[in-house]
Amino acid sequence: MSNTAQPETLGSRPWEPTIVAFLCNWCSYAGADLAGISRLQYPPNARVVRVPCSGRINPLHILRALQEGADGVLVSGCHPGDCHYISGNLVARRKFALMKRFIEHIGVEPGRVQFSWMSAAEGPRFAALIKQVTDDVKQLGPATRLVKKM
Amino acid sequence: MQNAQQQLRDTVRKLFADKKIDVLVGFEKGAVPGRSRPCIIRKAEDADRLVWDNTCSNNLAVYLADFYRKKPPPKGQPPPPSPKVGIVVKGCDALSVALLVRENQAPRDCLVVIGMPCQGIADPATGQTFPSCLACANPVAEGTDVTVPGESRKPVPASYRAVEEFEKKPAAERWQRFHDEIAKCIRCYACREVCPNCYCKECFAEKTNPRWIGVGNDRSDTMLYQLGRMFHQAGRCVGCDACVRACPMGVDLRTFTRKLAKDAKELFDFEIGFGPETEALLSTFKDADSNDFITDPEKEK
Ligand code: SF4
Ligand code: SF4
Ligand code: FES
Repeated sequence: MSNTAQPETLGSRPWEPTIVAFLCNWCSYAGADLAGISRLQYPPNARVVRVPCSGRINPLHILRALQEGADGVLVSGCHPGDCHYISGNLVARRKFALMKRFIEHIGVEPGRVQFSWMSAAEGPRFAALIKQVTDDVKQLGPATRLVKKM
Repeated sequence: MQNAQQQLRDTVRKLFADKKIDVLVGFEKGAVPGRSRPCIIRKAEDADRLVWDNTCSNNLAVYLADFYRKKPPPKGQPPPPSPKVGIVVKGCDALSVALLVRENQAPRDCLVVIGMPCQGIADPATGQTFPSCLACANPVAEGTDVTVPGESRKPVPASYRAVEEFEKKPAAERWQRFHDEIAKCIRCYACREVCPNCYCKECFAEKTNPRWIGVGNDRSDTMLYQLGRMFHQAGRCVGCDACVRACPMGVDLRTFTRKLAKDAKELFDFEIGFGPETEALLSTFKDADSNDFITDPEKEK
């Protein structure tokens, strides 16, 4: 198969957002798995990065994703109380709450960066989450702020 | 103030004579009129070099952590005992000292904290007291070992008016302001160097594995440096403005640093304090912490 035709087909396709999704290994990632094996249809825009716990997320991970051209970032961990490491997500929650307000304060559009809790049993809810985040980011259009130019 | 300066010198002389301190961090006369500079003295005779007035602008706590960094002792020798350090503080510096003690960067029992009366620091360019000093919430140092008597400013309750006004602007305008402020930055890292909270041996800005921040001059890298540094100060910044004063390019990010303080207050009822009971904002949590910002696909928007 020749792939010379590919750029053209790509070029004529409407813009689709790229969403970097940091998913906690123990819940949200398993939720994504469940959505997959249940053959649920949801937008293919999320690029999943598996992390050991939502507590692993460093604000710089989010900023770097935006800098490298992600149109949206989603961070998802276990529901409060269900963290595999007991309180990783509760410590993270404070960080996330401050972080979300902070990057919106500097002028990054609300909705570009989202946080959620998702359990391993919530396949359909996971599919709905990805759909919702993708729709939100589509509405905002391609990311321009914080993006590296060179 | 003249009086306070004399008392400071006497106090320090006595502390050296009584062997209560091995070294003292204070201010001496600077080379430029209107400025004092930090000095480190090791003997009682040098106490006469000390200066105390409204030109003593630096946050001296920045020198503290270095005294207690573990260095490998010379071969075959036991590690040297921790030095006893005396430090001259204003209210804001005392907040920093307390923070360093809480974060295990300086053992409290090795410190002799000398609280000074503070009327606010004068801008060397104009001679006027800095506006942030006029609005200072903590002009009186607490938790000191020695207090040099004298009159300090009256504390003003913390206000976030500038932040609130900024919040009302549309996102595009806020972005423009942030962008323009960052555009001035030449990434000299002076702001980090003067901040007592920035004691990491290796800063994320210089790490090469992983390399968080590119070494080129793309503006997004400067933004990531500033955002990363500001976020590392969440719940830790004491608002001393040392970073703003040190900046050679006049970068002023207080609308953003203060935003973190405001949200910490709003969301977690957190305020930085002098006491050992102040918790570390981002390594503690409550079950009832705010959950409103969480995206829930089952909830109607
Ligand atoms: S960030 Fe600036 S204002 Fe805050 S403690 Fe550090 S030097 Fe002082
Ligand atoms: S001191 Fe000013 S110019 Fe230097 S890195 Fe900090 S903000 Fe940028
Ligand atoms: S293990 Fe899932 S959030 Fe901690």
